[in-house]
Amino acid sequence: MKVNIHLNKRVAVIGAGLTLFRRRLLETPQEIAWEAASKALDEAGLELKDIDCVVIGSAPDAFDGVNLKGEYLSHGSGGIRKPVSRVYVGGATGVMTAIAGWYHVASGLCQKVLAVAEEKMSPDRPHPQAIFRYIWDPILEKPLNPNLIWIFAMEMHRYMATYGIKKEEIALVSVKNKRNAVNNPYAQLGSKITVEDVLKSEVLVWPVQLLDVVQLVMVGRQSY
Amino acid sequence: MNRIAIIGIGWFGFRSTTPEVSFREMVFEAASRAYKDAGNINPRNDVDSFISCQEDFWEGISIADEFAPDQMGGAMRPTMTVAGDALQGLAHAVMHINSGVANVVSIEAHSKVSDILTFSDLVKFAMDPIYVRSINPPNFHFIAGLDAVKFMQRKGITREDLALVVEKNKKAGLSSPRASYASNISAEDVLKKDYVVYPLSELDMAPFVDGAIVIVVADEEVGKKLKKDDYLVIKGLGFVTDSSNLETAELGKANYMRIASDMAYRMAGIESPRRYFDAVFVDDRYSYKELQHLEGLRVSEEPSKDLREGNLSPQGEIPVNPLGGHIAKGVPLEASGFSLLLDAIDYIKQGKGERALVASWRGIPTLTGSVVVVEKP
Repeated sequence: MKVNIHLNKRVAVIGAGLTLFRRRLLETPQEIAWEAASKALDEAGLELKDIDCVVIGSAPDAFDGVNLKGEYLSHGSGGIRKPVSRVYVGGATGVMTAIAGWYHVASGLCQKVLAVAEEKMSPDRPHPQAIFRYIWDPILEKPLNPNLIWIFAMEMHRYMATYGIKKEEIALVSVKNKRNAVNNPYAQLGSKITVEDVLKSEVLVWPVQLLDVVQLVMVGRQSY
Repeated sequence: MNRIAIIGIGWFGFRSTTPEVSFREMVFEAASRAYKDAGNINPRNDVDSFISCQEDFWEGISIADEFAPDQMGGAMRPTMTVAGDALQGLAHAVMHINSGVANVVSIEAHSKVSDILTFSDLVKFAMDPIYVRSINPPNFHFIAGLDAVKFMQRKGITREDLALVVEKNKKAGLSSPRASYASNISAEDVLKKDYVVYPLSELDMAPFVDGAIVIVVADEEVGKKLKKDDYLVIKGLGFVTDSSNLETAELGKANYMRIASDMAYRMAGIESPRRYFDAVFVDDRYSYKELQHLEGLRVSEEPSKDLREGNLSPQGEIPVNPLGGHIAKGVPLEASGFSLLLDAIDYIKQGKGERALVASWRGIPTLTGSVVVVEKP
């Protein structure tokens, strides 16, 4: 396998935009994408006509309730009469969007790329977790009806047992990250909590408790 | 960008149903054949990155990309999904190689459309939920109907012309091993059919088909080492989305094909596509689309005239879909672009030509097209 340690071309990030992270935004997915895109264009001092290519990143189509979600999002992402494509690697899609933006430039195909990541999960009924019921192998796993937290619980158990990690240590991660978000205007879940708060929160699937996990938000985000 | 070599091809299926295999088994078959064709390479060592082209709703799985790696040999390796047509996946592979992160890339696309019970409803889910889906169209082909009428009025194209496209492609498909829907049908047979949506009958619409295709591409220098001169090169490519909102799109014109092909021609240094190519392999999932796309590609300014004069037939001046196109082979969902590319590769390898143009469309309700210029090194 080739390991690239000498990048052909350095690529600059020249603008970024972000929407609020909220439980329920009233804008459509296209509108969320455009809000972030226009902020990024403003910061870069560019207009849409200056953009060569658009890369879109978005995970399950069912979150937004739209099939061929990249096609639908392209209008809101500024992808009109331009090379547009959507990349997808499960939960890592956001970072993959930036990687794809990078190689659009580094390969020489484009000079200025708008990389857009969007997700709108609030339309899901009864809850976005229902979408995660359909991420499993349809023959071997789906009949068990697992959900994500069920899987996280098994993994957390194994991790704690293998490496001798305590619940209190894992709780510190939530304490740290929620505290760090208190002054972030885009964050909806920042708060000053203690390890005790985490350990007293509702048990979802042991050893995962409510304050160990993130609640779902919707967001649009872009960068060049 | 540097030229990229196509060094391995494998396919499986092209039948209306494939009950003996799952979609993953189908891709495994195609991948095994592609790696053998690429000089018996081992994907675990010899392939640097893996790309799958698929959409959640076609698979019936959320985060379907997680089901891509194993059957391609991509587990615990750089694997990603391009949620788009296979030719868009190919464009990403070309970028992987040109940006320096990979020398060899494997791309897969597949269709297990026979598993889909409510295809029409899934297409409606691809329409804008507020402005289009909410009118609850009884038939998603209505968009093709509007597009066709506008195109036909603008270019003076008749129903008989569309029937001639069906006759030409169904007959041409008889020489392809992948054309499950080829037949010796006549234009009169097409004209006798009732309309599904004016001006299109059932025979004007390509059926859907199961299939999997895997293509291995490489930096040309690596390709030479693996295959000597037994490879083809990608000299140019482009992919473009027109306005994806139907209410702001320009129906009746394939703007996406025009912009994508201009991009590909610029890359390949082509000034006169009509003279440059020996054959054209273009999306014809609706009969009128073949003619509309030829106009968009600058291959024919008067496609109905070219059609009637036989210029587009397999023995004509510029053969279009000489192995049948989608009308004869069926539409394998996101593998559609590769299905046309596969025909182009076969055509060149059979010695019928040296330079081919491949142009794919993602179907209703999209306005996205991809173009590839493929030729002998």
